[in-house]
Amino acid sequence: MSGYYKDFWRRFLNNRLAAAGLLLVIVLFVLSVFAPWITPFNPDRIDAWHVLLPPSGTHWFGTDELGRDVFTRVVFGAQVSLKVGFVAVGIAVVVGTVIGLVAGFYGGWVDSLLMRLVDIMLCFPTFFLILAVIAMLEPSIWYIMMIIGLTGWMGVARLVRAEVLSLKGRDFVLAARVLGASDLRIIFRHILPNALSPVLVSATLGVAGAILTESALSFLGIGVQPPTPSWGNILTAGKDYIEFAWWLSLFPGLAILVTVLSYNLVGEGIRDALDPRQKK
Amino acid sequence: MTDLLRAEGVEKQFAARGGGMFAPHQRLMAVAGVDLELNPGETLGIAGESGCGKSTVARLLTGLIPLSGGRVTYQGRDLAALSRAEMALFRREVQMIFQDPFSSLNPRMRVSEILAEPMVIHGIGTEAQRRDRVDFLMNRVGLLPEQLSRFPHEFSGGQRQRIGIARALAVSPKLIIADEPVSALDLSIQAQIINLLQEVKRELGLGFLFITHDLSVLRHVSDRIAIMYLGRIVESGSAEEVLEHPRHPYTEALLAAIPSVDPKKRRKHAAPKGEIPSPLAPPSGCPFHPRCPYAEERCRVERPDLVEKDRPGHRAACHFSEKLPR
Repeated sequence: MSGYYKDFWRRFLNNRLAAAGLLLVIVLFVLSVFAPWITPFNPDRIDAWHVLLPPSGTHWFGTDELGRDVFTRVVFGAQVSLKVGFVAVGIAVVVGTVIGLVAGFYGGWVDSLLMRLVDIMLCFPTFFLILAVIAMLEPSIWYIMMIIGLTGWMGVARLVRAEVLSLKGRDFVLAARVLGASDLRIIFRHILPNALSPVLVSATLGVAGAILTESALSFLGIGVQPPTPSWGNILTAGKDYIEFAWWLSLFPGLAILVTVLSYNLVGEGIRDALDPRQKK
Repeated sequence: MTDLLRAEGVEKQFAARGGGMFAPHQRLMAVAGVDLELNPGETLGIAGESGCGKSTVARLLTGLIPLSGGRVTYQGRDLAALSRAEMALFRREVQMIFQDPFSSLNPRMRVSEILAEPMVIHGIGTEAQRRDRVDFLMNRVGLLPEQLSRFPHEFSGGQRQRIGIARALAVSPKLIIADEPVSALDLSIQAQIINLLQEVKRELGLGFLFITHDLSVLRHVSDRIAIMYLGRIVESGSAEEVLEHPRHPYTEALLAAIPSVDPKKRRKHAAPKGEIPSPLAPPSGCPFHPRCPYAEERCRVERPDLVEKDRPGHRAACHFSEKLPR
């Protein structure tokens, strides 16, 4: 490992909040991947004899109105949230990076056209756009990921374009031109690897945003459909019983809070670690 | 003998933005008609203050930016008319060394990749042959093959410039254009790098275009020298002639700016006064007249041509060359 990455890790881990965020992100990841082995219950098994039980040694987060174990459903819900977060952000990063690279590298009318497209996309109130589109399609987790991704790439496109503009005039890019390197080679070997750091930050913060959006959609009943558990639809069910079964709302709510907070902490940690000048 | 690289009346205009959003664009004449020629194995030095268009000339000669006028020929062929294959050959035979060793190497590539890339681009050799060549290049520029797996930021400025030189040599060029190759380096390192450039030049019989603002550097490396001022060549000739008997007051002023250890030699020439005028509004007549100690009325109205002065091949653009001490 080169000194560059070693320095990066040292700075990142010295930031206590970022390190804590990373730890939480890893814990969530492990929980969701190993969900079936972590809890003895089936997230969908209805048990009419154990309805709305408060948290106990057996049911850590209590049970819901159908007798399902809330801890199990929250852990399986993490699978959905992470999947949505990563796939949606993956789509946004790929689309945004390609558009930013093309706009910044070729400039001129191509740049103007693509940047006006960005401006137009930014004019839409994203959440209502998503609501409208989902209303026309069947609610499905795949549509949700795609729509969140396709409405979230503009920030990445602007970041990448700005990086490309500053990298394009650097001597190592000129050197590659003098050597006769093709445009594709210059873009992918010389510009892209140097433009990715801010994208990494933006993507990490974007995961948090995508998870929030998915939760909100599921809460409104147009996201992930029951019985598949998602933090948003557990909350929806919980709101009807909130007066006498607080655990139904509290735990999925906490899960959302902790997840979004930890991705934000990691994102900010990466940003600070990438830019040593900001550190005192 | 046919020349390696030749520039004929080369011009470059940039559009400079006017004062306000709707102000008309101004034209900035960065290079206003430059003629140059470089023979195989010869070193031509181009000198002038910052902003005189030296670096723009380098970029024009390598075809990195389009010409606004004139033409550049390589081995007698117009650059603008080269076929794809001929252009690829030009890109292989003409290499560049850059001023800033901290920005001329891709920070995300290992040295081994940086040095192999020129050969990869031009499809030279097998991977094993390229690896041998990279080892050879590292040795040649005075670095250790053990350092190949490192990244550029792990090297000092002088070492990075050595890597830049090795990269330029990787594909066995015939001509190297060095744009201020030592200006960003410490004085002691400058000497090492210049010696290295001289060695490889002699070994490989390279043509060299050496661009600098530092005449004391040119003295050591050039066969011929061209002095640029505000986008034009104002004096050219053999290195010895130009440096010992300048026929243009601007050259004389540049020479006077070189610190000398010999007190008797100091202040023999007039020091340059004032600042270089804005190329957006170049002076009328001779572009140097506002700063020239010899200027007369004629200089304000009539621009002097670059013509041969008392020695063959020594040309200067000055109405009153004879006033300068011989």
